[in-house]
Amino acid sequence: MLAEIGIVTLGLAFLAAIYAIIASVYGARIRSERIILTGRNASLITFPLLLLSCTALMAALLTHQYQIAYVWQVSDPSTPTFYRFTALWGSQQGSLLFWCLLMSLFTFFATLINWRRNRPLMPYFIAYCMATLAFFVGLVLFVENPFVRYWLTPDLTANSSVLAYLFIPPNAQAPEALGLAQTARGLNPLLRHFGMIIHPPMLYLGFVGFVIPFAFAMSALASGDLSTNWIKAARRWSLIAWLFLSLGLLLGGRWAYDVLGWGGYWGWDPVENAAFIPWLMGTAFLHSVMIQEKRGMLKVWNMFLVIFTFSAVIFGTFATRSGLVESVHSFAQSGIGIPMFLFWGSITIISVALVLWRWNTGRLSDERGFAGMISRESLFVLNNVVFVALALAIFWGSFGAPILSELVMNTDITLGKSYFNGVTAPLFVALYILMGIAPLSAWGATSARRLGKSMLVPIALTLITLVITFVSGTRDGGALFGYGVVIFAGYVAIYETYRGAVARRKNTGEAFPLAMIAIFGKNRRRYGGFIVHLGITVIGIGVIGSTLFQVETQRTLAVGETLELSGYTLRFDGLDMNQIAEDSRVMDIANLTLLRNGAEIARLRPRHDFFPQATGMNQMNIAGSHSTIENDFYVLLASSANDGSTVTLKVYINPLINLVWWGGIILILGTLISVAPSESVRVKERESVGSRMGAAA
Amino acid sequence: MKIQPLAPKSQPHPLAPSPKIGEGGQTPPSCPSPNSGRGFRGEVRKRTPRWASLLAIVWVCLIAAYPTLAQIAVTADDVNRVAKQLYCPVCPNETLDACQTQACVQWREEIHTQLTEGQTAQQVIDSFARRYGERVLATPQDPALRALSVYTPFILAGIALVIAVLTFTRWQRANTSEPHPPTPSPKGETDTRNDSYRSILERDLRE
Repeated sequence: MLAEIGIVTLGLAFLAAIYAIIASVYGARIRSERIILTGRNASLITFPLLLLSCTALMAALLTHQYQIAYVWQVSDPSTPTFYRFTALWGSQQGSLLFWCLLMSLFTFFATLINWRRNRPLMPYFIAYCMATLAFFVGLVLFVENPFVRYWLTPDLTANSSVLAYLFIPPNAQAPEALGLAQTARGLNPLLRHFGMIIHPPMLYLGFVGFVIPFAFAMSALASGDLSTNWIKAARRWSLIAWLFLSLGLLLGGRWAYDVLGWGGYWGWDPVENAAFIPWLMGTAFLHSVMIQEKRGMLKVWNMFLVIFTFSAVIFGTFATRSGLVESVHSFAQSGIGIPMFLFWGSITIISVALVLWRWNTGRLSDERGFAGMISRESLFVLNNVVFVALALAIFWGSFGAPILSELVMNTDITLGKSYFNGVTAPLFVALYILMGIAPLSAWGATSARRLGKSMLVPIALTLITLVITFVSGTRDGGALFGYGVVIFAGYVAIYETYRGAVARRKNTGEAFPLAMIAIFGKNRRRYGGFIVHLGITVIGIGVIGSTLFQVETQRTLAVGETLELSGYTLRFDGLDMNQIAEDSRVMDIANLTLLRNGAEIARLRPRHDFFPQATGMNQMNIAGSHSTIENDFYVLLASSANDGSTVTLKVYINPLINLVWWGGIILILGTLISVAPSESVRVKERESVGSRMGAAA
Repeated sequence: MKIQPLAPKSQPHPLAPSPKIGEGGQTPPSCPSPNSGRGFRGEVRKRTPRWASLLAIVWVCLIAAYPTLAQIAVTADDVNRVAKQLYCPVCPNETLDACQTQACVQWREEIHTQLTEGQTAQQVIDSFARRYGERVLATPQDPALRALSVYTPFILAGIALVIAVLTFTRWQRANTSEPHPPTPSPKGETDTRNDSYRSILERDLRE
């Protein structure tokens, strides 16, 4: 019954999306409000329908319906309830359905919120959102259906009798439930981690969130309303999508650090990169959109940025799920490559053609000229160049060069850390420098002297910090340069916030804390942005420290033996072998004591998990770590003797690595502040909607 | 890590006894010199073989012990340093030092063996590249592929920068050839070349 509910609601959602496209475009063409409204309602109903479909699959997972092939593939009787929820996105079919649900959720709220405010754009907006949704729902319905069930047909032998069909084949029977339960595969071991509850939904929310700004941009091109309306409508949604994508990337990094067992958080894996590229493009858009809002410039560029951000999202999804690249994320691979490639190619070409068409008609020309080289506009343009160059370099290393060399030279190549670190490091340096200088510049133009003067305090603070860092023992020239560039950007963010509060206090006579609160209330976007910059600074410090000063060693220890590393002593106390967990994993756990200056500071229990029932990747190394602000003492159990008398440990000291996570939290906090509308904006919006309603009445 | 032999095997040791003097470098006792103790050549021949033979024994022992010494020197960290530069030929995008599959465990053992035999890290890497192709390397060795891989992003970045500079130039030219009136911004802003920080801030604060 659950399968039937899922299939029917999925089919209805597909039909509703198709109807919404036709009705919205046709209604807009013939200017029929009634038809447009039916299109809107059809688009709105896709969300409850997909919610029902997802609920049916979730219910099947929770109630052990192993006749449904998806449930059989991603769970087994020993799977805890906790992981049954996460199993919804544990494989291709379920994650695609979940993706569709999130996309319909975004469209639902974006439509309701913007229906009155951006009325002329909405029919086309709905059409673009529904076209994307219909494609993905179609994939789930026709190619990767999670409601396919196993059936026994009477004419086949017992050995080959189970067939997977969506509907009941003639004379077929349901297989015995017990037999299916005994052979069920269980969830991919890599996904059995707390981080996997949050990481994929956040990443999907980030991905599908970028559909909204894309649909607004396309609706502006299609409707001919090329004012800043689409920018205003799209900006906040872009920020929301960016927030989720940032969260997804951070959680993915944390998951890799905890589960993948290589002592790091970012491996330049193609799938990580596939999520990072839209983040870079989206960040470029969030900056350049300000130029269009404030100066009426870069209209074409913004269109291209929004298109390529969305295009990167679809390409990333295609690359991850089609088997184009291999990675640790390849659990989600299947045969959807060709339809996804066609969708990606066609939507990119159509969108670019639409921009070029409007550009040729002169409707996208800049409203004002360029005032000077030293201006916030020019620095933002440079910032965009660096972001796009980074995105291109990462795309090239992950997909471009490997695919091209295989196609043209018939040679399979991998570009690894050395490539990515070498190519991206100078671009990141440029980015941090721009991040420091741009907030100090003014819109329009500023003089070099004035800009230099405003940089004096942050530069002085940076130099003082560098001297302290040098005196405290950091002598590596590259590291000091890196810290200097990154810290400068952070000091500028703090200094500008401070100057804003001081200026406010002088104007109003308020106390400094009140002035600080007031400036955040008045322009959350600006000051939230500074907090985001501060978060990026803290992340940068963490990345430099953990990359340049990581120490590692591997030793084999017998019980009672110790190893020494960078002032720490690690003692092996014994091995707990063959411990069986709730989900049937078999664990070997090393008991270790960490000492510093002879005093015990922590007990660590790194473990090796083995999943007897899992196919493919069936083991994991879960690290034991002792975290401080200074560093992470991170231990992996590489191997152990059969009798448990000795263990081989891989030990890492990752300096400042926790700043990466703390910086991430600051970044999220800043983005949340930026997303919230400022007091003045809220008042204006209320007035604007009120006046429009009054005029309509 | 490569351990060099202490001395080339083919060259005689500079302090080695003359072959004429007899086995072990000892002078025949039946040929005492009439001028013993005076520093004549005959006398030297009598003394040198003793400590030269000792050196020769030490030298031979060192040569014989060389493989054993080399085995002791290769640690797991040495192996990991090489493995870090190689990608697992079967696992997707995982470096050999981190991969946990049985195949990678064996490949790490192979790296250990090769290092133990005295091969350099580069020789080990080359041998893996020969057997499994360029994909096991973090950067291709083939000069054409290497150039294509590494320089392309910089070329792309350069092109992007040139486009940006050309755009600036075009904007500036357009600005000087067609002097704009002080166009009010959508919010009625004015140009603020000389106003104070507070007025700039106030303008920025207005959305």
